[in-house]
Parts: sequence; structure tokens; C-alpha cells
Amino acid sequence: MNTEEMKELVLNYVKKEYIDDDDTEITNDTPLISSGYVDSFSMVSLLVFLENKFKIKIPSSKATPEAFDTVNSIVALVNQYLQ
Amino acid sequence: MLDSGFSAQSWYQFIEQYRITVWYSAPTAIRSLMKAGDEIIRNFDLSCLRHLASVGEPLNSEAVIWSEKNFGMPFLDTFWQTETGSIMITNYPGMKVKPGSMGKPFPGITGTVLDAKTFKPLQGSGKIGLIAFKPGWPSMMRTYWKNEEKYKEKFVNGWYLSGDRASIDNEGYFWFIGRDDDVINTGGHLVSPFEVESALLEYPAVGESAVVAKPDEINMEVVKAFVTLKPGFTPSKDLELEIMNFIRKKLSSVAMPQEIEFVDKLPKTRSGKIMRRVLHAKEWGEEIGDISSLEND
Repeated sequence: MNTEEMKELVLNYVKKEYIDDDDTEITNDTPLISSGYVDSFSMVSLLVFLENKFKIKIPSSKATPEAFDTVNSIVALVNQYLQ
Repeated sequence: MLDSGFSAQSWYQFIEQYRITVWYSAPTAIRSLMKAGDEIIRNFDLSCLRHLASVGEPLNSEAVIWSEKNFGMPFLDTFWQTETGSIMITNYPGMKVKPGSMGKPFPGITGTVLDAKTFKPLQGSGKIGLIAFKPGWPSMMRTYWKNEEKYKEKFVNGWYLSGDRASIDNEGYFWFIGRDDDVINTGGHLVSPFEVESALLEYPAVGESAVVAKPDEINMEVVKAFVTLKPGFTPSKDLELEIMNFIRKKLSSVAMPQEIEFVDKLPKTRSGKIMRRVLHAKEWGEEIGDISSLEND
């Protein structure tokens, strides 16, 4: 899976699980945490999704609101642990 | 205005921009600011601040010391409930602050800790009891909406029972211990374990469930669920995620277990009641205590 496919996968998951309003425009750059689309309590489910889907383990110290703020930053984080 | 998301930068910027003087916050937010580091604080002019206070959860001593160092004044812990309508125990300006203590009853309020069996005030310092107040303060609740029975249960032996436990030291300072029930305080939000357990049972794969608080660096406590599965289901990370999302949508993200542990069986009394306190003690590394009523294999 290349980076663009990963972004699409994460973006679709975020839209499906966390965005109630279908009309909300979410892109790979949309701030998810700092705009309140995904709250800090929900971050854990997003983390579990990433770990399951990509078969990786992300240390909790790296799963910060900043690292989880956009699809782009999430995929950049995942890529660090895919090697 | 600052309800969407959290960043230390936006909080400090807000204080600077609007020249905030009194900053009333919550320990989870304060701990998050501490985690963001001290350096960022130097980028802002926070000289407008003149009073800092905290509410919602017990404020740890490190946060008090940190705020004194970085803002030149401590966050003063305060204690109150919707039921009390006003601050009951607090560190008010001018009094000596003992970091980690809730402070003392606000002038005019009579507060104590009661023996859990006799409901009489405990004599001597350092003994853990139920935080209670003499009824009659001006903003006291008048009832629980359509639940007069529950309202009456809050008053015993001439005292209002807050549902929290504390000890009082030899100078009259209260020291918070925890809830007197199983309610989980996660980041200042109260979560009923029973409600989460009931919701878990609605998930098709779940046989039994027990929900307890798990220690957490930022939120003080988070929700953890122990779950047994019905025959035909096997534990997996995908199942954990499905259950998490099920609870998040059914109840709220706050109530969503931050961890689900699949177990073969839950500790129960011989009469079949789940011993939540055994699981709680395990999470907190505490003594399990009397387990003579634990059912045998």
C-alpha cells in the first residue's frame, strides 16, 4: 500500500467513524483534533484502528494530539513504524 | 470559545489576547499544559493573571508547584458539586497553600469527614471518612428532579453526604482520597461503570462485563473494561475496536473504554456479584483486601 492509498484509507475511516454530518468537508489537511472533529478520548480508538490495520505498535508517547491532528500527520507517523 | 480541541499555544494566546485575570481551570487541562513544557510559556505575556483556581478533580501537588514556578502563583484547588451550588472546600486567597490539599471549608460552611458506619464526625487527624456538610448553606440543592427518594438518601444524621472521601489533617486541611462509590472521574467527566457495563452487554459478542477506573497520567482516571465473550467469539484487536466504537456511539467518547481486556471469567462473590473492587485494586496496584467471599473455581 502506498502513502496515497494509506491516506485514503485513514480519511475514509475518520469520515465513517467520527464525522456525523455527511456535508462536512474533510481533507488530508483538515485539523481533526484541534478543530474538535475527533476528541482526545476518541483518539484511542483511532490508534487501535491504525495499529490493527497496519500491524504496527505506536508508543503512547508518540500518539499525541499534534501527531493525530491531520490525516497527513497520522500517515507520516504510521510510516515511521512500518519499516 | 476554546472548547474545540486543545493546544497549549491557543490557551496561552487566549489569556494574553483577552487579558484574562481570573483563570478557573481543571487538572486535566493543567496537566496537559505541564506536558507541553515550560518554554512555550515564555512566548506570551501572561502578566494579566492574578488568580488561578482548579476544579473537577483533585489537583495533584506537582501542578500546584509547577504553576507557582511558571506563573508566580499557585493553582488553588476548589471543591464543589452541582448539588452544593457553590464552592464548599477551597484554598482561598491569603491562606497557606498545602500542595495536594483541597484546602479548608469556605468561611460559613461547616464541613467534616464522617465515619462510614456511624455517620458521626471522625475525631483526630488523618482518618479517612466521608466528606459531609451541615445542610442549610444558601445555594444547596432543593431536590433531584423527579427523584425525591435519591435526594433524601443524601442526608444522613444531619449531614449532607457528598459521595467523596477525604481525611483532615491537624490544621484542618482536607486531603482528597477518592469517590465513595464506583463512579469514574475521567478528565473531570463523571462516568457510571454500571451504565458502561449495561451498554457493553448490548454488544452481541459480550457475555459479561466489569468496568473500573484505570490510572492515567493526563485524565487521572480512564475507563477500562474487562469483558468475557459468548461462546463462538474469540478475542482480537479488531473486536476490541468494534466494541470501543459501539460504546462511543451509544454513550459518548468519554465513556468509551480506553482499554478492553478480554478475560475467561470475572471475579465474583459466591452469590454471583461481580467483585469490581478486585479488578480496581489490580489496576491501581493496591492490596486486594478481603476476598473470602470470592467464588471458587
